[in-house]
Order: sequence, then structure tokens, then C-alpha cells
Amino acid sequence: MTHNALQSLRRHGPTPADAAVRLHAEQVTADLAAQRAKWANGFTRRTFIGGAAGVAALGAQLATAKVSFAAPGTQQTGTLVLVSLRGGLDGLTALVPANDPNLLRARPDIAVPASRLLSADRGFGLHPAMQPLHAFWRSGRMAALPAVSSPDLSRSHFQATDCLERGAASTSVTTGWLDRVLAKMGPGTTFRAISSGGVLPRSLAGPQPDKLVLDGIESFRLETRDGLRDRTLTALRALHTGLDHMLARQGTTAVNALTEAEKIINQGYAPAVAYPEGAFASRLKDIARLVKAGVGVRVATVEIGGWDTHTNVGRVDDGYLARHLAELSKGLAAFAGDLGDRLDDVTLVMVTEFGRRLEQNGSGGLDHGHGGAVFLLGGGLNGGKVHGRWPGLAASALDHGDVAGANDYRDVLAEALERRFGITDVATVFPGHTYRRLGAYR
Amino acid sequence: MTDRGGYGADRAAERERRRREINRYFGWQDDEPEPEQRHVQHRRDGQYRQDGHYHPDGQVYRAGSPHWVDERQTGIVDLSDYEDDDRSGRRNGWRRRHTLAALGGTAAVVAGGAAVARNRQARELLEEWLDRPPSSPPKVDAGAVPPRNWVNDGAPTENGAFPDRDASYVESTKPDPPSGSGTGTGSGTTPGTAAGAGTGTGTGAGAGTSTGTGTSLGPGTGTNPGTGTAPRTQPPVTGTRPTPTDAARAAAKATPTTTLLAYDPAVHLLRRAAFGPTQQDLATVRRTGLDAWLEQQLNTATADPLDRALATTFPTLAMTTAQLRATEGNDSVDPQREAVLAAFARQLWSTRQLHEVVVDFWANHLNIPAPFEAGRNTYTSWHRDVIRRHAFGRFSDMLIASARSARMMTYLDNADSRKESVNENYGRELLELHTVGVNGGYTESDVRNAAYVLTGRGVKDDEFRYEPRRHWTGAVKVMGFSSPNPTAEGGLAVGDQMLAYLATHPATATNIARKLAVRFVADSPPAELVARLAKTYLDSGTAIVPVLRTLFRSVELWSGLGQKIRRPAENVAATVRALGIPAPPAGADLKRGVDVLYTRLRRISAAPQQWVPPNGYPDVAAAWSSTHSTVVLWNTQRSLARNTWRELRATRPEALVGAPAATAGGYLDQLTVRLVHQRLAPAYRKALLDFLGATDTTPVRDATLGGMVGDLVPLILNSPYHALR
Repeated sequence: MTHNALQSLRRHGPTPADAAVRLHAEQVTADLAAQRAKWANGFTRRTFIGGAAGVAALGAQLATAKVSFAAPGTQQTGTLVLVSLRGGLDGLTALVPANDPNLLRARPDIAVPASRLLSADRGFGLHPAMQPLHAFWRSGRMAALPAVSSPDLSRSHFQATDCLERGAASTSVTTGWLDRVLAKMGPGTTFRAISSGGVLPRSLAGPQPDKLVLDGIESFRLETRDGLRDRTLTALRALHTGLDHMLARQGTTAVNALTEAEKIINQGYAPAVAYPEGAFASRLKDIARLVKAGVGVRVATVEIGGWDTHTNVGRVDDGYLARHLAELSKGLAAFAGDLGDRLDDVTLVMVTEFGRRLEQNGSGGLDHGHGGAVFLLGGGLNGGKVHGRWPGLAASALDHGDVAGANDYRDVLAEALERRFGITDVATVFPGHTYRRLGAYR
Repeated sequence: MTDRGGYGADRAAERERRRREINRYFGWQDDEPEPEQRHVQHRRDGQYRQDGHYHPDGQVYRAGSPHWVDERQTGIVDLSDYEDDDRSGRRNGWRRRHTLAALGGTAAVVAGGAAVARNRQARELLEEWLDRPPSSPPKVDAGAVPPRNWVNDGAPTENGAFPDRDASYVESTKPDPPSGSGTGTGSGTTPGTAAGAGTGTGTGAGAGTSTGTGTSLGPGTGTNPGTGTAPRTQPPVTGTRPTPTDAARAAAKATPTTTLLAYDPAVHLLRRAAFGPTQQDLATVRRTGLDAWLEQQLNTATADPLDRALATTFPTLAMTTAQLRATEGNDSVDPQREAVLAAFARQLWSTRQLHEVVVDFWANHLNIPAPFEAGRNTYTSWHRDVIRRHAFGRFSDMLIASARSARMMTYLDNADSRKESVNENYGRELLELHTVGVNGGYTESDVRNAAYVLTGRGVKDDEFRYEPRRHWTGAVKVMGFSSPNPTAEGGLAVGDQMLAYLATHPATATNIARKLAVRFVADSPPAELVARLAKTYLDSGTAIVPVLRTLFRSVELWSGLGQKIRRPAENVAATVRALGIPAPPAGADLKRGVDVLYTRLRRISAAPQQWVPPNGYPDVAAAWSSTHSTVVLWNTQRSLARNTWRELRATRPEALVGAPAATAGGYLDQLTVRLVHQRLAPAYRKALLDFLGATDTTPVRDATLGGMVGDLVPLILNSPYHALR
């Protein structure tokens, strides 16, 4: 038997590495097939979500399930804000291991000198361009984790972003992770899920209703002649009532959102602090405005691109990356300052699809890497600290020359969900992942 | 490792025996300590490097040896084959990297036969296998071809593990089964009033009733909106009839499912076989009859006056790839955008509407996004020579042409695939999307073999080129197709044979038939209809026109009234056509007119060919739920009705109806008949009268209704009557 089994092992691949992976693949296939068999035999969605766990098979379930009740113990207040840094932020420039000889050797032209860093924790420092956020760091409303990734994230923008937003490696998980979060949070108001900036992100895609994509709340209005707005909205609402069809539900949500938005727009908005120029800051301002308006925002997303620094990262004072970090920081600082006390109700997480290579490339830039930094802002933090494992930058600790993925992004997000939103059943939000607490949240 | 389940007292001994066997087989020492991890050699720009030192191309470090050896002899994976730093938005051969990364990082990759994977996780995976009970050995893929210098992503097979995407969306809208806890079961009427303890949102899908409909070929009064849950009382009428008119008549006798739309076969035909009725088309259909109009549409010899206007406006349309290459550097020429805008313009204004509907269908089935970086010169030929040329032809011809397209080879990375490092992307999508479909019954082995067969097909200077020396030779088997595939020069022909096999496979027939039925009939089409279309497809040798004929002779199509929604791009097209907006004069006006609408659609990520992955836009209502899209669409309809854009001249609202009726109610009916081809149900009629501040009998002084008609017309277009088809 053993000999035959070995022969079969050999047939799985030309090398043991391949063979091992293929075996794992067979295992997952068998599990998925078993899951489908169970499913075909009358396993209902409710019992499934209530009980079972484990394996990517869960994902196939989540693609079609829709939980219409909130899990017990879930908090009914508080806003999760996800800031997606598109392109791959270089963690080692934002959260810098001070005086690390490997870093200095690998980046002779672009490493941030230790003397310029803002103090952080555990031998790390923040890039000086993040000065606007340093007050929040010192007051315990900001924290960071280095070397964050997951084994499923590759160096491809498309794949890594897609994986990150679905919160799973297997493509059988088709909903975005935030859609699953909304399912756990239960029903809410028209504004419970907003995407500030044009497009519904993949992380929000799924069957949960009522997601608003706003591209500037000031422009979220129906174009009507002056004085006819209310009558038009009334007519639209009536035209979408009494029809049992998705169009009617969508139309009603839209009318509700337009009506609410109108009130909010008419109130005008005087932010507590001045926001800087730029699309990113104005999108954050819209989120702050809605959070403060008390319209029940539970999940908000916003993205900012321009992190794909293959060339010309630049120097600490005037380089491109420094300026972009300054824009990011000023926007976030304004957002946090504008929220004021409400910042304690907000859980803001900044993620990026991957970090960048340790070694600078031939153009003074950085190519795609793996482990990156995650920044946390808001309430409930063990703030002013750097959390998670730091494997260092010695050659043996790197992953193909990149910062290793010592901390899993799903652990960060799951902890936020658990500690801040009372969502303890994180296995349904991140199927196929075993959650390990990092201690970033109290 | 974790204990995965006991198989008796001598489990430990059995395990130990297996472990030694494996160690002997792989040349590992039984008591070897965990070795320190080594760098993976990473190649950049043709040179290998380790610890910062570059070495001559082709030489890598072999574990345990001080020498550099040739990669091609040892089969070491070159990870940079899978670098895709500069290719965003595509699914590349990323899986290999992610697989190796999943093995925990800095493993030295193997060197040939005496394989030594020093990676702890690889070992752990093997040890999991060691712990398997003897009665359940790992599954062997019986069809596996002995691998020879191939690399594979090792990703778990997802074949059949998740449902068809459209079906998944549809299923996500179904109510959960009723449970004892009293949450709503979603057959509620008005939204938000689900029966039971009110935590559910009403999720029933179309379970209302209907009442009578008009049975003549004129406009009817529409059905009442669902007020209860009475099911149909008679079975639906199905099957084909000798002519479309007969099928339409048979459908009139059936009890339709609930819908707002009145049954008017001429209107229904133009909603399904065209991008919405225009006044002229409606008059033509009523005059000549359904059958004659359809035959005219299927007649490929008909000329379209729009062709000349488009040729003038978009000069790159007729250019070959070589000619387009010659225009490089000229930033004012944007071939991809021109091709996409021209296709969209045809949807709005072509007289050959059914052809454009089918072109849109194929362009989505074999989806390739545009504009797409590095695709400047290849999209024009793709759309013209692959999609348009074969849209009314045979799918097998289209498929074979697509597999010889530079654009497809680039998009799905087949241009990078060669026998030393096969890229499976195109092989996989060919099976999963283009032909047999995700439930077609293929295995990972079939994907691998398909990828082998397709090696050698690549690109040079933006043109398709088959490179024999890249072709993998050796016996191949893809589902029921097998070939000795003995020579490199013969590889192209082997590929064509495989494609012909796949195009005529019953699973392909079902896949395409189903997608056609979803496009033309309903989100969940009847299985019998799908089977009928699949049979026609196979009987006609994959020709599409006979399938269309069967489709329009099927009663199901005619009784599928109101079962589809218009996707945003279709909605915009239908609005343009409903408002009687003619094609702007050729040149700058035509270009700008189309461009402004295309840009609007881009804002809601619904523009033609904007969808990036190869599976194309979803085609079911559940996938298109977005308030942002709704609001932008409503505003676009308003702008079109109000003639906001100079180039797009809608009929003025007060001129939509010839002579307005004497009462507000009568005028409203005339307007709704003009725009959505029926009178509205009483509740909605009243809502619009309330908007006007009038009653049914309020007298009409002039056609502008005191200026309000310009506000009334957009409301009619914003309503579900225009959004359904």
C-alpha cells in the first residue's frame, strides 16, 4: 500500500513541494464536495451558519446565505471605517524600524534616517510626514502593526486586492467581507453602509441590502427643477411602492437616501477643523458629517491610491512618498479632529494589498513586496503601541526578499470586530481562518 | 502534526513506517534536524542573484552544491515568470507564487529528481497524509498525464464547488426557509412589512398576482401590482410554435407571472430583440408583422446607414493592427475607445438591432475589457474580426478565431505560456467560461492539458503568432478529447481540434443556451427551454441563427414579459430610443454624443467593456442593486429628457404626443403609452396625477401642462415601467 501511495504521491507533481500542495488541494476538494453533498441533503442555511465551522467550504455557503437577524451580543452602535490604500503602501517608510542595519544597507538612498522619526514604540518610528497624526498616537488613539499580510496574498495588485476584499483565498467565497459583517450586524438604517467615492468596493459586494455609494454627498441629489424636489421624491416613492420586485426595493432605498441626504445637505456642514484640499479629505469629511449626523452609519469605506511607488520614492523631506504620506495624514488628522469625542465610537483601519520590497530597485523606487503596515485609529485601542510580531529584516527572516507576513490581516480585522462590535463568530466573516488575538484592541 | 483520526493501536508504527519510506524515496535523512532556510533565487532582468550578487543568466544555486547549475536541466521554478508587477487588473499566473508563499516563505526550491524540499510546511502537509488511515489513501486523478517539466498552481480545484455566478445572485435573493422563530418569510407585499416578527426585510421574489391583460396587439391596461400571494391556477404554456406570431398568440392565452407590463407582442419583441422600441420600429413591426421584422433582422445582407457615419467618426474602426501600430505616438488617436464607443453607438441607433443585441451578448460571453493598458492596438481587430464577424455565424468559428487573437492571448496570459513554464490562465477560462462552463464536468487535469495544448500561441508585434518551439508536445486529454500531440509544428492544429471538440460539447451547448435564455427570456429560465435551445445549437453545428429562430418561436420568450430588468447601459439606450433621439451628425457631434453617455456609465462602472474579469457582466437583476447607480441613472434620464446635451436632441416633452387629450388623465395616458407603451396601473396613475396637482378630469389647457410636462416625462422614465423589459 505504501509503495502505491508513494507512486500516487509522485504523480501529483514533479516535486514534493508541488505534490504536497496538490494533496492539500485534493483535501480541500473533498471537503468542498462533502459540503455540497450535505447541502443537497437539506442542510439549511440557518443550521449551517449556527453550527459548522472550518474549511473553505463555508465560503460556498456564504455566497448564497443572507442572515436577516443580528447575532446576539452584537453592538448596535459604532462605525467601522475602512481606509484602503490602493497600490501597496511601503510599510517600512511609514512605520520605520529605526537604525535597522539591514534597512539602511538595502535602501542607501531612500531609508528614512532615525533622527527624523517620530517616536512610536518597540524601536519603530513614524515617518515625519505623519506629524499631524502623532498627537493621536501619543494620546492612545492610534496604533500600528508591522509585517501584516497573509499567505494568500500574492504580489499581484488584482489578486491581492481581490483576496483582501473578499477576506478569503478561495474564490468560492464571493461576497466581500464587509457584506458578511453587515449580515452579522443586522438590519439598520439607510445609511448603515456607505462607500465614500464613486464605486462600491469589492469588500461591500454581496446580498445585503442598503449600501450607499456616494460621490460627494452634496451631489447625492435628484436633478429637479427648483421647488419640485419634494413632489418628485413623493412621486418616485409612490411609483416604487406595492411592487414586489428588487427594483422597488432599490428605488425605495434610493428615495429614502435622497430624502435623508437632502436634510443633511440643507443643514449645511461646518466641520470642527479645517480639512485639507483633495478628494481623499473631502471623502473623509462626508463620512464624518454622516457619522455626526447620527444617521446610523455602521460601515464606511474610502480609498486612496497612488501608493504603487515603483520609481522615485524620494527623500524624507520632499520626496513623492513623503508628500503622499503627508496628504494621507493631514486628511486623517482632520477627520479625527472633526469627529472630536465621537472618535471613540469610530474604529478606523488602514489596509493595503501588500507592502514593498526591502531593497530599493534601480530607479530609486520599490517593487511589490509582501508584509506591510496596518494603522489603526479611533477608540478602544491599546494605543501608542506597535502590536503583533516583528520578524525583523535579517536575510533569513525575509520572504523572497520581502518583509514576511508575520501578522495576518484577518486577525487585525477580526479583533476589531470582536472587541469593538461584539462580533465573536469571526469564522463566518473570515472562513477558513483561525483567529488569533493580537492585543491591539482593549 | 494533529492527529487526524485513529486507525488502531499500531497507528504509530504504521506512521513511522510510512515516514521512513517517504524519507528514503525523497532522499531525506530520518533524523535530520531542521535545516536553516535558504534564499530563493530571484531572477531579475535575466540575472540571478543571491545576497545581492548577480550571476549569469540561467544559473541557480543548487542546495548542497557550491556550483551554479542550469535551470532548464533541473526544472527549478523561475519565480519571475510569474511577476506581474506591471499588469494590473488581470488574473495572471499569480497562483504559483501564492502557493509557494503559502508554503511559508524562504524555501529553497527543488532541484530535479532527488527532490529535496527543505520546507517545513511542505513536510507537514506530507505528514498529514501520513496520518491518513490506510483505508483512505489520497485520491488519484486517474486521468493525470505524467508531468514533464510542468509547473502548476496547485490551487484547490473549484470546479463545480460554487454555483454559476448568475444563479448564485438569483439564489441570494430567495427567502430563507421558514423557521420557528417567526422571522419574516418574505412573501410580503409592500417592502418592509414582512409577516412575522419584523426583523426580516421582505425578500420574496415576485410572488404577487396578476389580473387580466390585453390580448389584442394594441396597448393594454397593464396588470395590477401584486396584492396577495395567489399562485397561478393553470400550468404555463410552453413549447415552440411554427412562427413567432403563433408563439406570441399562444403566450397571450397563458396566465403570466406578475408584472407591471402589459402584453403587447410588438413592444415585447422590441424590448427583447432590440435595445428598446422607437416610434419608427414600432410602426414597422405593426405594419409588417413580427415574423417579417425578425427575418429582416436576421438577414445579414441588410445595410445600415449608421455604418458610414461611424466610419467617418471613428476612422480606426477599419484599420488593421499593423495600421494601428503605425499611429502610435499620436495621442489624439485612441483605437480602443473608438471601438467601444462605436459599438455603443450601434446599440443606440443601428437599424440592425438584433445583430447588436447578439454582438453585445458575445462580447460579454468572451469578455475582454477595453480600454486596457498595453492593449491599444489589438482591441479593434478583436471586436471586429472575432466578435462581429461571427456573431450571426457559428460559435465554433468564433471560438477558434478567439484562440488566434492577439488580444485574447495577452489578456489571459497565454502569450507567456510555454512548455517550460505553462500558464494555465487561458486553459482554465476556456473551460470555465468560454465553453463547457463551471459545472461542465472538467477536472484540474483537463485544465492542465488544455493549457498544454494551447502553448505556443502567442503574440509578436501585437499580432497573433504561433511559436512551435514553445509548444508542449506529448499525449493530451481534455475531457473526451485526446490527441498524441506529437509535434510542435502540428500543435496549432491540435488546438483547433480541441476547440472544435469543446464548441460542440453538450455542456457547451447547455452553457451557451442557458446564457442566451437568461439574456432573452428570464433570470431563471425554464430548463426545458434551455434544453431545446441546446439541441438546436448542436443540431445546427453551433450556428447561432437557428438557435435564435427557435428562441423566438418559443412561447416561453413571449410569456417572459417583464421578467428582466434593463442593465444600466441598456436602460440608457432604451431611454435614448424612447425619447426619439436621433443619431447626431457624423463627426465630432456623434462622437461627443456617445461619449457623454459612455462617461456617465463609467461613473457607475456599467459602461460597455468596462468589466475587467473574463466572466463578463452579470445578467440578472440581483447583481445590479446599487442606489448610486439608480440615482445616476435617474439623473441621466432626466438630462436626456430635458435636452441637456446639445448633441442629443430629444423630442420636446410637449411634442411627444400629437394632439393632447382634453383631460389630465387622458393626456397622462397618452404620454405613458408613448413612452412605456401602456397605461399605468391605477395607483401609479394617481401618483403622477398627484404630482401634477391634477385629477383625472382636470382640463388640459396646453400641451406643456403649465410647464410641468417636462418634469412629468422624466418621472415616467424613472419608473419601473421603463426599467423592466
